[in-house]
Amino acid sequence: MDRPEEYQITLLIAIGTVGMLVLAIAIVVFMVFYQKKMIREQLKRTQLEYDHQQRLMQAELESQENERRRLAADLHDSIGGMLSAIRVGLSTLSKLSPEANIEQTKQMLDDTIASVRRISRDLMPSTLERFGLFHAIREVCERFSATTQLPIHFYEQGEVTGLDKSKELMLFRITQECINNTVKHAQATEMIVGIVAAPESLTIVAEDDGVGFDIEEQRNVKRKGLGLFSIENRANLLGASIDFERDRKKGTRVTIIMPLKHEQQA
Amino acid sequence: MTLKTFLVTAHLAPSLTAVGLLLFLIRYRAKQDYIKLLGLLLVASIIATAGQFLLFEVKITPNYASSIYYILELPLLATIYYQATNRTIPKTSVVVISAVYVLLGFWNLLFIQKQGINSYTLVVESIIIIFYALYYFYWLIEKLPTTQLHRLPMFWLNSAWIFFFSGNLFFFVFISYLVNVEKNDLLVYWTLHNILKAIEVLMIVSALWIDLRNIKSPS
Repeated sequence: MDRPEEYQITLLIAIGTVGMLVLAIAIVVFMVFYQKKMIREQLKRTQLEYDHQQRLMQAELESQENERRRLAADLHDSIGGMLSAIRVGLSTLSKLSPEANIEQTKQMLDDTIASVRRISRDLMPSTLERFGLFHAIREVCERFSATTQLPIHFYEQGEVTGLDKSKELMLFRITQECINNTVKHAQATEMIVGIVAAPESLTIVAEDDGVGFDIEEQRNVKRKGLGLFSIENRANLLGASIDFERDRKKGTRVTIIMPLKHEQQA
Repeated sequence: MTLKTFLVTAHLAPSLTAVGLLLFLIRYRAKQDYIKLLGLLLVASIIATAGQFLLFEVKITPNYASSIYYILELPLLATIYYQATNRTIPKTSVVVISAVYVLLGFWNLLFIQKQGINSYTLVVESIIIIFYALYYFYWLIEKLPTTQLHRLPMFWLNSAWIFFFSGNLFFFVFISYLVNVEKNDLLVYWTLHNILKAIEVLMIVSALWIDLRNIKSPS
């Protein structure tokens, strides 16, 4: 490499090559870091959207429950009260006019008062607010069992105190929906509902010996599966996992496990 | 830089290519389309290398084998990029660019640089591949097909090609001048070229290894 021109060309090639290599490596490194950053941003956006959806769902459910509470109160206080007053008036009338045959009318009125109370209780179970989740679920099991002739066995283990009222209500609604589904669709001869409070979690199990169902099929069918949708929604809001046992030979078993954070344990 | 060093580096890339071909043949049917095209490229590379040695033995310039390989390399690479980007590159552009390149390549081989090193073809190929490589990175950022870039074989292939063609571009540009004007034997340059080629093939082998791992344990 004696000639200066040759030296210059060699230098140019060396600088050019090194420059291009550095540029290529820089592009690759930039790619890696930029892609990681893009993915982080995307995950953040997805999480924000998810949180927003959760908040919307929460607000919708709260609004629904508030409306139910109002309806239940109106039914119980206004209509229930008026019907009771009518009942008293009829009793007085039957005493004053023994010949008037109003037994059938009184029976119809008693049935109507019972229906109004039942509807009011279904809309907003007062047992839940007064005695807590375990009692409310036991009561709904007993009530469904009495009205539908389907034996529903309830068991409980442990106790949870200090659970947020809204969470209790959601757990109650999930259980109520599971029992409702069994009664309407399962053709079961028996049902078991259990609630187990462990130090770290609360588990609700609803099991029947009916015909079972395909979870994926139910999710895909329009207009049906709304109960399933509301169960899954509520479970998501609670941060609970929900398992529809798929590999059962017969019947259905739904397990909801809600992690307990900061709630007091008994 | 000695002839011995040059010869050692000259054997590196073909040896690694053979390893790559072996990796390619394992679970061949399960591989994606662009990996199958890569296999074809590896086979072509080995045939070209064998052709060079054969032509050297019969005292014919080995440049013919390598020139034909470089002409056929670009259409294969272009098709690999076309498949790897889920066909977002317009098919017409891939066909037209490849066709024009092949025609110019053969024109250069037959009438311009002939039995010499077809550096004009190499320069054009390098520029086109660098553009394809940059497009692929842009496509990766746009589509974000995976959170784990290091598990994407095409990422390694693309890095190999952008590294190799960028590193050799200036060398290809000045080959003709160095040979015809400076009468340089290019020993140093070809040795460095061989080293870059070996690194390129090593990255291709890594891509094939990652592809095999992905097939065996997808996640």
